[in-house]
Amino acid sequence: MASDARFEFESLFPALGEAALREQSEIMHKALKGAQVLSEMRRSDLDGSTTPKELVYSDGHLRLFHYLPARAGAALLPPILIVYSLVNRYYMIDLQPDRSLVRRLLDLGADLYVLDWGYPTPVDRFTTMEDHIGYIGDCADVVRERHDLERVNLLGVCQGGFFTLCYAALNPARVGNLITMITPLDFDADDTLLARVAKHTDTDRLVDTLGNIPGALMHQQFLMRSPFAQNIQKYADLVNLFDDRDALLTFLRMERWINDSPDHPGETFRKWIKDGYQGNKLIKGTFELDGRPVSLGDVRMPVLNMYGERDDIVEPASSAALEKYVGSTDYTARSFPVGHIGMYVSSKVQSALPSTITEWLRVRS
Amino acid sequence: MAAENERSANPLWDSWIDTLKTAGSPVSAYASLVEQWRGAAGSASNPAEAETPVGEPPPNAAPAAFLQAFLGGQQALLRMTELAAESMLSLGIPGSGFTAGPAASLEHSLGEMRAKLSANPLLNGLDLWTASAAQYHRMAAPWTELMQRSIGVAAALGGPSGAGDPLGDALERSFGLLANFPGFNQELPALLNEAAVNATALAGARESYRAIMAATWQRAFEELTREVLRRHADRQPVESPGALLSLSTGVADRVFVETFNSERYIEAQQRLSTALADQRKYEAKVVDLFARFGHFPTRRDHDELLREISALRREVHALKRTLRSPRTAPPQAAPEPGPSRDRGTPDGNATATAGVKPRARGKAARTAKSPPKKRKNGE
Repeated sequence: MASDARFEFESLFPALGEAALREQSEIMHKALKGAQVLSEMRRSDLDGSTTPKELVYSDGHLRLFHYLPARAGAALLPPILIVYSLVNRYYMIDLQPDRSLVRRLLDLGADLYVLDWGYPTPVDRFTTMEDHIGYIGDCADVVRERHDLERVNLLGVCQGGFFTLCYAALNPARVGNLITMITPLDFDADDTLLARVAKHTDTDRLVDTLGNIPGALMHQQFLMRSPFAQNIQKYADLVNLFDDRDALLTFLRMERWINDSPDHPGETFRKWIKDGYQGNKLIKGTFELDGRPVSLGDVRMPVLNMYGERDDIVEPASSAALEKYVGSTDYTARSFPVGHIGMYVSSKVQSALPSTITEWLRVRS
Repeated sequence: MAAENERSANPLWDSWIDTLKTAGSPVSAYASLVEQWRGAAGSASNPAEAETPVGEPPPNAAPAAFLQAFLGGQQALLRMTELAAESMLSLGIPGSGFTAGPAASLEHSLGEMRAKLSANPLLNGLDLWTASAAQYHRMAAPWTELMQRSIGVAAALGGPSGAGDPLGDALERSFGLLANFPGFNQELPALLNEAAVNATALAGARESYRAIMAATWQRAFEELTREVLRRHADRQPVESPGALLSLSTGVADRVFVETFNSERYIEAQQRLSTALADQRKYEAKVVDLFARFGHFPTRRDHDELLREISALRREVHALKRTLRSPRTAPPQAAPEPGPSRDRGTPDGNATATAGVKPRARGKAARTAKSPPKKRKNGE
């Protein structure tokens, strides 16, 4: 039987033995090279956010940074406040010099601020979505005051896009132009795996039991989209990067970001899932913040909506639905042939996406 | 005297005071019984006058002083019992056993005693004491049962020990009581019972989840084998371990993601997370129980604290916003921009927006020319 089994195996994989030896030799060679490259790396090499910036405002965990212009006095456009999601960290928009939405925008004359939500602690389990949107208002006020502006431009990313839409709907007179990027909006149109799980989640039980939702739990839910590629294949392929310092650094920076999952504030998560994924209330016109109805019809400023055509975290249809509900008569939609993460780092959009933003803004400034 | 006229609001307490005051006096209602006791004990009404035949030992050799004290105590106890029974009835305490009224009940009880004494004459002081003790026990039974019941009721109603009075309860609550120890009260067993029921549900949910996963692994291996065989048949065999790994992860991803998207899996995941959350809830309750006994803050206390901190933060932010510079007050509503709807290109090629009506941006234009004012961190 054993010989039969060996025969079958060899018949199925005729060259496997020889190839295995060859691969093993290659892997050893690359691993040695990789060990040398890794030994020369420093912790600071992994710092993603490389573009110089200054802290201009802080409040608890929240920090507001101002990116310094690429060249002195180079900012040609009115400032944009970037509001990232509470899931993962904002520095993905500035991963490294050659994959940096921030750097490209600065080069094109944008003046950028970014809101860093920080890492919530157990105290933040009762921090509500209303609180978060209030913090956006605080940061917007800081920017308006620094630049003596009546209105500020907002760029909301993913969940941050949902928040900025709410802020803009409640404070239309304070927002000049609104840019949303890979923003989930019509949850009924979202049939991604994450959306399906979210729609079936007993959110009350989860939040009442756990308080803040652990980042590690959410991280695993994201990995479910391709568990073996994310947990095995990716690391098996790593060996091919060992002799390429730059590629290895990019990989490690991406890994750092992917695994840098802050806990999600409990009460905000409750509303996000129940009123968003399960209730789809903003689309249905029944969404409220602190008892105030939030209507997308009140978003009357110019809107640029950008999304990824291959996004498997936020279904493109979910983002594209904004057009039907927004009150603005100056609405622009742009889609890009990438996925969710590709919108920040894919080489396919490194020039097209930033220039779309600056050109759109320039016409309206 | 004024002091004698002072009555407390508690009839039971007053009854005991009266009893103590009258303890040494004959109780007229039971005079015949007392006389019979005296007779049985070989004593006259006045022990000093007791007749003892010369040269013969008395039928009962109990000392006169003992008998005097004993009879005085008997009378006092009879009176106390009677008054306590009356008090219980006046307080409306149900189930005291004195359904026909205390006097009638006592008469009945004492009649029984009388009959026994007649049938079995007492021979000495020890017999008298034994008979009395038995009778007391019988007479006290309704009272004892009532007290036992009231302790149970008090405990069930949340009193720490059923001490029966608010001050006692308050003292015990303040200083803690061993009876509150989680192992001694009903709360922990009840909680553990509930947790055990949930543990069964959790085991079921876990097994359902594992069964789905096991079936998915099996299917992934089947499909991988099928794919390897197909390639072999097509003369495109897998030629390296790396290629085999790549093929395996590709097939497994497809099969597993298909499972993850299925209603069956989502339901199983939901069941598992629900049961796990409930188990966590029971764990927290048990910890809270012990924390409460040890005077440590519980999870509930902790949550309340966090909630208060959040509310205070909110108030501080509201104040800050109120005090903020008038320059940041909301301006007039933005002018309506000209109509323009650009839906982008389906192929994803980004193009500059055309035909969009530019808006006046006076302030923004000023900003571009002037550097921002400096602002201190945390301002």
